[in-house]
Order: sequence, then structure tokens, then C-alpha cells
Amino acid sequence: MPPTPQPTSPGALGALHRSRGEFALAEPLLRAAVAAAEQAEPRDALALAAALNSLGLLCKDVAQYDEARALYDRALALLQGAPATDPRDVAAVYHNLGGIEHARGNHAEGEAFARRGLAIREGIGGDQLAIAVDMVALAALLDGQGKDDEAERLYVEALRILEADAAANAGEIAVALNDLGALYTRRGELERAEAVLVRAVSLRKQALGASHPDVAVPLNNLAVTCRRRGDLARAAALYAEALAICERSLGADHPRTITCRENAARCAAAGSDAAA
Amino acid sequence: MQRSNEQDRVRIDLTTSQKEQVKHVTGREGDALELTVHELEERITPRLASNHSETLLADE
Repeated sequence: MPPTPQPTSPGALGALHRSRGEFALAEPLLRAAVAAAEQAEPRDALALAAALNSLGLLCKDVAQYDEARALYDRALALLQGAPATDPRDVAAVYHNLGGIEHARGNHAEGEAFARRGLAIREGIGGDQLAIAVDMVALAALLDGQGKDDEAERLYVEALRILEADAAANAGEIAVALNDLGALYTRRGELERAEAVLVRAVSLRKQALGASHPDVAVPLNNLAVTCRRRGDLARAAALYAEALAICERSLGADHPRTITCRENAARCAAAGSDAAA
Repeated sequence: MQRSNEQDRVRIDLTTSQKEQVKHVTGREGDALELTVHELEERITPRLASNHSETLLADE
């Protein structure tokens, strides 16, 4: 059997590293891909938009939100100005603009982008998986504004679509379960939340490996749920696992690391109070 | 890392589960997929990918 080939372009190799959570390795490659697309003669607007979008994804991962937003804005302008643009690409950039505003806590602004992306996808029709992924992204922005009913409806509908091929869609199912579990936790439906988040953690670990930075999110949320149920020992262990992943893969100053660290500290303080 | 020529063909042996999925979706049977490196890259790195909006709870 021949050796497993590696990607041949900086952009593809950078995307591979990013998918593994190897952000420091991905960044120079994705920046090189943008530079190459900028300098190409003749300029290919769609290729440049793709390179900008890929770098934007990485910038979001490493919490460089202003740069990510600027990259997505530029990608969208390029797509809208190009005659051969595929509307699915425009929908993807709207989805990503919604995502960056979700990360920055600007949920109402993000909602408008997410609704636009979903409307484009639904207008094209056919790609139910992409529609489900867009539904989850919109639901997260609605959840952030306390619009629980529509958010829950979208999560449940998206999961119904994704579960039709659970093996192939495990990664997207994990995202939807994490967000739905977080909504349940916020509403105080803790038993329901725990069941959903346990599955999200399991799927994430299976799909990405136990130390991937994206595993830390459902771990943290499961810890919150356990802490609120009064299981401080389990919560502390889950926080420790999430925090170790974040510190190793994202660094001490990443917003996700800071949230996990503060949650762990509150849990430890609650344990001390209980023991006193 | 080893670099490959874009026209190199890549053989991906399928697991039993993957063979069943291919059979279910396409009705065809086979032990492996063969793609050029270019075709494989298109699948690994779709032209415009999407991020995830994941809720991270703060325990306040």
C-alpha cells in the first residue's frame, strides 16, 4: 500500500493542520496561501476569497476576532463581485460572519448574518446537511439572546436531519448536542442536559481525539451541569480535563481558557465552602 | 512531510462499515476508493468551509 499522501498546497496543508487543532502550524501556511492568491496573475477572485475564508476560520480559532471579521468581509465582497460565484460559497461566508459575531457576543448582529446564510441555502435546496449545520449556527445565536423556543426547535430539527446518517455526521451532531445541552443547562433542565452533553463529549473524542481543543467545550459545559447538580467532584475532574486541553492547545490567554479557568475556580471555591 | 504530485492516485482501503455505507448509497461493491491527489484535496479542504458556533457556558 502506498504511503498516505500529504496535501500539495499550503492552503490544503494549513487546513489539515487546523482540522487537527495544530493552529501554530496552520497559521503560516494559511497566510502563505492568501499571499499567493493575492499575487496570482491573473487574479482569481474566487480562489482569493477561499484563501481569505480559510485564514478567517483559523483567526476565529485563535480568538483574533477582528482580523477574522475583516477577512470574511473581504471574502464576501470578492464573491459578490465575481460573476461565477457559487451561492453556496456566499452562504458559507454569511454563516462564518454569524459565527464570528457569536464568538464576540454580538448575537443580534450575528443572527442577521446567520439568517441570510440559511435563507440562501434553503433557496438552493437539496443539501440538507448544510441546511442543518446552518440551523445549528443560527440557533446558537438565538440561544445567546434568550430566544429559547426557536433555538430549541432549530436544534431538534437539525439533529433529526443529521441523525439520518449518524456515523458520517458525528462531528456536526456533537456541535448540535453541545449547544442544545448548554441551552438545557441554562434553563435548569440538568438531567436532560447531562445526557445530551455526555454524548457530545463522547462523539467529539471519537471524531477528533481526546486532546483536540474542540473537546474542551462540551467538557466544560458538562462540568457546569454536574456542578449545578451538586456533583462537585465530577465537575472538578471535568474542569481539570477541559482546562488542560485549553492551556495546551490555545494558550493561557484565550477566551475559552479563561472561561474554563474561572469556572474551575468557582467550583473549587464551592467545594471549599461545602467542606467548611 | 512527503509531498505528492497532483496526478498521483491514492488508494483508500475501506473498512467493513464503509463498504456497507458505499453499498447502501450507491448500490456498488468495492474494497477501496481511488482518487487523484487533486480530487482528494477537494474533499479534504472544500473551497469555502464553515466554522462552528459553540456555546461555552460560564458557571456564574
